[in-house]
Amino acid sequence: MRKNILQYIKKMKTKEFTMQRRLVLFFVALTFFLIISFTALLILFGITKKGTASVNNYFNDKLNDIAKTVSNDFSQISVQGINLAEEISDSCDNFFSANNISARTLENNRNLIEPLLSSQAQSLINIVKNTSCGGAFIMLDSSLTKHSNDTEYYKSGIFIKKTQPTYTQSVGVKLHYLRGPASIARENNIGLLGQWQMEFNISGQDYFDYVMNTARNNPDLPLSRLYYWTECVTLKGNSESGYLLCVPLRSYNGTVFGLCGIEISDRMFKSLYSPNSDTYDNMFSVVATYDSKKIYCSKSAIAGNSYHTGIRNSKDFLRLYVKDGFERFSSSTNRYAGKSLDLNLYADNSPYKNEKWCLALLLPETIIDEIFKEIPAHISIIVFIILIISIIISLFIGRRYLRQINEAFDLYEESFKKLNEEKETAKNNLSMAQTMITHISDEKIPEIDKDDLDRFMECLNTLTPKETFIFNLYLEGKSTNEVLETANINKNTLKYHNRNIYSKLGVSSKKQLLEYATLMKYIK
Amino acid sequence: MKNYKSLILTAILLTMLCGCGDDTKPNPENPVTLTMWHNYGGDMQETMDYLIDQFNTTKGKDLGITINVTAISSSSELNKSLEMIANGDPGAPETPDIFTGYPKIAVSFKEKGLIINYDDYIADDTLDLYVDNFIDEGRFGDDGLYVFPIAKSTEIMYLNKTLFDKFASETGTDESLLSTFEGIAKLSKDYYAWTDAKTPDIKNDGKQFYAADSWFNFTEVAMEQLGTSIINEDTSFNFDNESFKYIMNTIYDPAVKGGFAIYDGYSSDLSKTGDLICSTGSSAGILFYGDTVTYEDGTIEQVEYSILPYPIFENGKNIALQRGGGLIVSKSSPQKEYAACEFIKWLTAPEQNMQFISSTGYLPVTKQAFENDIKKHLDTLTDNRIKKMLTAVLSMYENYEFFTAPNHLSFDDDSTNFETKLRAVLTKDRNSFLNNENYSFNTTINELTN
Repeated sequence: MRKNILQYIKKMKTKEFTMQRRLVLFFVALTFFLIISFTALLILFGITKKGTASVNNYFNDKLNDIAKTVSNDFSQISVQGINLAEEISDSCDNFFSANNISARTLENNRNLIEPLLSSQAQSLINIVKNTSCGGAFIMLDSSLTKHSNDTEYYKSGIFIKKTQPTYTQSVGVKLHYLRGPASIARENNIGLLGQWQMEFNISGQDYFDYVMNTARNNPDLPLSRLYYWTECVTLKGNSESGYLLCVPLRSYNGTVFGLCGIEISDRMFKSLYSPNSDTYDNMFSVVATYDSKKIYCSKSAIAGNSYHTGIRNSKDFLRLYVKDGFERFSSSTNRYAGKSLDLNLYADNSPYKNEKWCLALLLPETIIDEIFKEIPAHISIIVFIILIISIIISLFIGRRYLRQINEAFDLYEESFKKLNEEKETAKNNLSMAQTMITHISDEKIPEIDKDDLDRFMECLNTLTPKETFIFNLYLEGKSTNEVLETANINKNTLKYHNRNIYSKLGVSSKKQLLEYATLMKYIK
Repeated sequence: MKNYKSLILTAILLTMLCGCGDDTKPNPENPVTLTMWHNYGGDMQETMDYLIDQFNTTKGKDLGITINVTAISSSSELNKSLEMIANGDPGAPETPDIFTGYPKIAVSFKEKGLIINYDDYIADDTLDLYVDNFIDEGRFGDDGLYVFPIAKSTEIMYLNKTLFDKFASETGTDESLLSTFEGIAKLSKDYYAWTDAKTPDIKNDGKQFYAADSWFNFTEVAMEQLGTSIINEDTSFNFDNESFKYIMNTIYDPAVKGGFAIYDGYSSDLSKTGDLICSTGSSAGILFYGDTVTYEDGTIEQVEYSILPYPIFENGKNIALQRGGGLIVSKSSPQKEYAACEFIKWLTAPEQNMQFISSTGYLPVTKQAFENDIKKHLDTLTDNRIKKMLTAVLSMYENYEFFTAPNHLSFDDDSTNFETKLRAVLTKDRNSFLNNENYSFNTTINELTN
């Protein structure tokens, strides 16, 4: 392993690796440049904000859908409530007339309250059975009993609830009796709820007086302008809350003697107006009154997937600021982000027209922030992946295309090496030959007279230029024909020169001449 | 190199296997939504809603299962709709994927092959985690398990202790009489007479003392206590015996002359207005008993209820009825059936089951919850009514044998007919008594049994 690393380090210093590294670096730099350019273009054309836009669109679509349903349902129930109030008012007038009393004197005829309520029970049963609602009620501005000190808080009436608010068919619909004389429940075979009480206790709840007084102060307005939606309220002694549509009961002579209405219960609200978002589990909707500072969520039902649903917010939501297109809210313990849309629950000339209602679609703020963090994070991840892939490709290209050059280098190196080897071999051969010659010379020298050789060497100067020329040709190893051709002489002329050369140098043949010449060369 | 090739091949095979998937199970990419009907309404609904929401956002989300509750109503109302479905009646609603019901409703569905056998989906070692009796109640012999226990109840006695103490202190009544039905019959007549005497100028305006939510259940359990059964082996009624006559005779006198209320509704309704001070009914009905009595004139009195073990007939065995339906799953697709079983296992696991019983008054169904968790849990309960009820029921489970109603096909109709008939004959004779007309026990018994 250590050996491999050392080899690698050694290789890094080589020319070959430096070249590859330069090529890879070139590609990586090119990729960086392209990615930066690409990102700059995305930012320039706002494409990175596309995710933000899709989240905003998703919220807007959901908000619009639910708002439309809420508006339709609240309007429809308002109309049914007005019809119910008209029907009950007429029926009560008939009752008053039959019993020689008036709406104004009902309080003084307590014994007639229970029969009066009994005569109206069927209208409530019908509306509860046939309407998608949590229940229906009638409240009279009178009490069945004379309470010792807080009589004004007790109101006689009937409240019939439905176990399955969204069911309107007869099979599977079970009615329960929440408020009213038990005898009326028994007459109509309706079971009492665990929270049953004989009368309504309105202490601490001002909607009854508010609706009654508004109706009394606006005698000329029709009931269609006098209905009122309470915020989500819990009747005293009850566990489930709901929005109550309250419509005044008005006698033919204008006496307002009570109110009746229909409930959109917590459970119904949850069943019908839950965002049912597969994407955001914690998304929930609220329908609440609002002003410039707050959405009054503590008096709103909640609808949503999350199992915190059903639990009321204990605090109102304070408006903070808008960021990324989402309004930010703060309750005492949590922060939320979302969007809201106005709901028009009243006609323009309603005395309640200034009450502003909205539908808000909300998520815990941390989730919204996470969503917006996720969008640049996605781009960063994509860029990072592209970068990694580019580096891998650069390494691959570097290796693949440098291979041919490397091979050429290898070939050159191999040839060079071979040449050197041949050169070395030749050198060795020469050395061996010289050794041999020496060896041979050493052996021959005793046979050649040293004086003859000296004379031979001294007499070389005596040769004419022509003879020297021919002598040198012999020394070069030329044959007789080559000498004839080179010296451009004929055979006889050569013989002539040969004789002179032999004579001057003291040799008798060409063979002897070459022996002496070789020795002379060796000595030199 | 060889290893490298094997690795690639394995990866490809694994990818292919993953791609194929298991189409019998849902997953987040291929989720299922199951419709559900249940009878946990009123105060119990919030708890059930909470648990279902919790499932949908936790385990359900992981497994791709969403539970959508489409109907919540009383058992009897649900049964009407379910019977329409089972009979294929025109206008019958769409069959829910999961519904609560008693074995008797499951019988007709099972006969028509409309519901699943849990044995095909839930392993034996999982079933071993549940109380054997509760599992057996939903098992149809060798045919399989068709009703899965979710929460159980028994019948207990509710006593308005505040009103009873007033009566006892004035009349010197012995409270121990409350342990037997003969004693209750005597107390009822005494109480009626005592309350009647409060308005000497109005005759027979005394108040009733006792009522049973179901007179059929009353008779059925009484027969078991006395060592026989109201249903013969051939599923006909067993009226021709001395025990039956004795039981009818015990209730006849107070029902006609005053003391026993024959009321077409839950006893808790009468208790709320002080028209009754003692009743027997499901332990799960505890939430319908408040802590006040509102009299006809609007006066409200704060009262305290005692929860007592189910009374027995003299010389009878300590036997009480084990109640509480279970969850039934419709046959649909393998995906949905698997999903339904996963939900049911989650819902009945000790943690969820304890949450459910803490706010509803039912008994848990797993051995761990029933034998260990519930006792530890008693002290932490915030609702004193549920605490009292669970204490009484747990003591009954130590001293009583529990009897479960038969589940043959005609049982539901037969029991309803008996209930209606008994109420009718007793009401007729009560009216005859009030109107000084003739009435006779023997005639009434003949009318009832023929």
